[in-house]
Amino acid sequence: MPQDSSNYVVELKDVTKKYQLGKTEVHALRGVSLAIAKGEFTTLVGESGSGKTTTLDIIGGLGKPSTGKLFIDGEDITVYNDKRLAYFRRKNIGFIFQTFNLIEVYTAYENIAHSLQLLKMPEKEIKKQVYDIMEKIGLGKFINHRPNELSGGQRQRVAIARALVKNPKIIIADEPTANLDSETGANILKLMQQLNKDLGATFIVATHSAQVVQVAKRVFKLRDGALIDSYTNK
Amino acid sequence: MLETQKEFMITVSCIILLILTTIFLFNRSILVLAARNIIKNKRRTFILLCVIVSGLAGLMLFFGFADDSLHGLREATISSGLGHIQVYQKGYRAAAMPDKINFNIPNYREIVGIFESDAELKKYVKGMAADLDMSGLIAGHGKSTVFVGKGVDTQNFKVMNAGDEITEGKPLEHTDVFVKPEQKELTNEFEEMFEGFPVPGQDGAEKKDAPKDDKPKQEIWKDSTIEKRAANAEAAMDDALLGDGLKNALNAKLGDALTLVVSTKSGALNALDINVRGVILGVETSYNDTIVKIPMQYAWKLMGREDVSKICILLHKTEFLDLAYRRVQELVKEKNLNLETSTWVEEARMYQKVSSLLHDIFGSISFIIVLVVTFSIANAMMMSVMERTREIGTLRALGNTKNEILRLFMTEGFVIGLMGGVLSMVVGIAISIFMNDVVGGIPMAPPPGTSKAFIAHFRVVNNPLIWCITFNLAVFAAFISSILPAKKASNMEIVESIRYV
Ligand SMILES: Nc1ncnc2c1ncn2[C@@H]1O[C@H](COP(=O)(O)OP(=O)(O)O)[C@@H](O)[C@H]1O
Ligand SMILES: [Mg+2]
Repeated sequence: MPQDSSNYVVELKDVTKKYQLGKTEVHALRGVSLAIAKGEFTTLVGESGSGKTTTLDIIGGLGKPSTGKLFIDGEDITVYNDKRLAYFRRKNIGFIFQTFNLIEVYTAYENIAHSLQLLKMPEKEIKKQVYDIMEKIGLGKFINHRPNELSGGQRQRVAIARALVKNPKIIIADEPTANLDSETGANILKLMQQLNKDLGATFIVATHSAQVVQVAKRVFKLRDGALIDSYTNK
Repeated sequence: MLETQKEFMITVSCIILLILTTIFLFNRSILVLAARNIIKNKRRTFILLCVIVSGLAGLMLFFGFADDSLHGLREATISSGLGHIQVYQKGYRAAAMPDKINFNIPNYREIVGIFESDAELKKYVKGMAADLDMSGLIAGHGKSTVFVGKGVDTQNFKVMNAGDEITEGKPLEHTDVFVKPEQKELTNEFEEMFEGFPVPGQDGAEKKDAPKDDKPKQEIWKDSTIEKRAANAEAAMDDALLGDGLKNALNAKLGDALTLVVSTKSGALNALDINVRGVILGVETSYNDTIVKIPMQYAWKLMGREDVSKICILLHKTEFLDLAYRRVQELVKEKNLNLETSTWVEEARMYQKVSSLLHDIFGSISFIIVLVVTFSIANAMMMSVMERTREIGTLRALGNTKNEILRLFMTEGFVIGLMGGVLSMVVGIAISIFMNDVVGGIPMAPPPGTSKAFIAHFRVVNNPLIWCITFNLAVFAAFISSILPAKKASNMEIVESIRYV
């Protein structure tokens, strides 16, 4: 099964995705092939509706492609069943959403700890890890706050911590700064860059923001569900 | 319901509850999330608890009311001479009415002796008595009607017949004295009272005039004096107790001489006079309209035989029935007695009817209540699932499985059910205590087929079966109704639900 995938953590091979909207078929992706190397800070750019979110969903194991293959670390995950995909996600994928998506009834601590509890880590170890990362993202004081007691930027920081604390192979962020003002967005971007450097996690970020594109190592450009350009920043 | 059935019900439901508890409360992180959501959605939780409590506390009270009525009827039936356990000659119960008499027990003293000398049975038994069933005509004051009579054991009479309310006169006493009814009419006491007055009944003319002259005196003479005298009279062999309805039908009074007519063993008619010593009021109207109880010896004289229809065994408590009955059956087998046995339930037709009626009503009401509660909970849970679509999608994205999402919502239902169950019990018990002890019960008219008005109480406090049923129905309803919403939650499309606004 493993192909020439030694240093690619993600490999899409001719992936298509069709949605059935009543009688009409929507081709969200029309045969996308791309490969992302380990530890790379990657962005997907393109106009609204170009297929960025769909691509990220497929990479993150949230939805399956209509046709084509997806290899994560050389393993084809399109054949996984629902349960196996869930286990795959909890171990390998960290999600950062545009709308933060914290669990409202959990404190900041619990939101982050949840990722580790899913991995059956001992409580003591969880505590240490969560405190560590809360310090790292500069939210040590807010450990027992609920999401509704935090600002947008703080919430996104917690969400980033939640995605990173389990040390996943891939961090998937769908327009993570779109709901934040530009200054906060810039700070969040800085934090992600820093964590990418420190922890060596692979970031895949869909974005409209020129700022984000600038700092990215690698950029993929989509239009109408097809990859039209890709390049590496110096 | 029998004790063993109760215990069985309670045990089974506890086991089910234990299993559910381990399934649903075992996963700590799911439990925490469920608990947090229950606390956070205060409105939903409050409404759900209100629905459960109003439904199930009401059910609990209804059950307590029905159980109280049944309990009263049960004890009254048992203590109307029937006892808890009946022993017959083999074939008696299957025989047709007129043939039953051929299956009477001749050697009943011997059998009673066997039962009385058994050490184990002794622990449960309060009293034992034989009776002789008979029926025929009862006549007096120019009227006659049918009666259903019993020759009863006068020695144990009060113990065995405590459920018959004596509305006038006195119960039967143990005695060998035989006083002719006619003799009673002229006693010293009577003559002393009317000393100096012309005594009515001694002279035909005066008898006619006296009442006209002095009506109040006649009232005293008729209604008070003789009855008082009769009520204080020494017990006699020909004493009889009449059902309240029968007394009214015959216009009979205490101290009256009435005649019983029956057909005897040989088929001939036989008649004997009885003296009304007391009037009894049992639960059933049909019983009160027909019953005549006379001492056994007198019944033998009337029937021209010396045997009994059955032996009735009264226990200290109805709860002993299972154990005592088992022992009686063992004894019958061990001693190779030609006997068959029954329990009071089989003989208490009124009780059976009322019981099955109440059970049907209870069954349908609880079904409706559980249905309403279930739908209300399902509806609220479904709304909650929709509201939390994004949370569900997020949990799935983070790696929670479908099964875990399913369990999350089932746990919420289960926990709400537990809370509702406990609260229903507390509220139900509190209301029952209030109604029983503060309000003093609810006065009720006599139920159909019965003669006694009564005060309804709610047998809830000392009734673990009711607690058990209430609690289980609450948990059951909450649990069942969360299945569908939980299924919906677990089957949500992740990509759509994480972006749901
Ligand atoms: N669930 C869906 N049902 C139907 N069409 C969809 C669905 N999700 C996305 N699409 C369509 O697929 C195309 C790509 O969408 P998307 O991946 O969200 O683009 P982007 O994230 O770049 O804005 C769009 O035309 C969009 O309308
Ligand atoms: Mg998008």
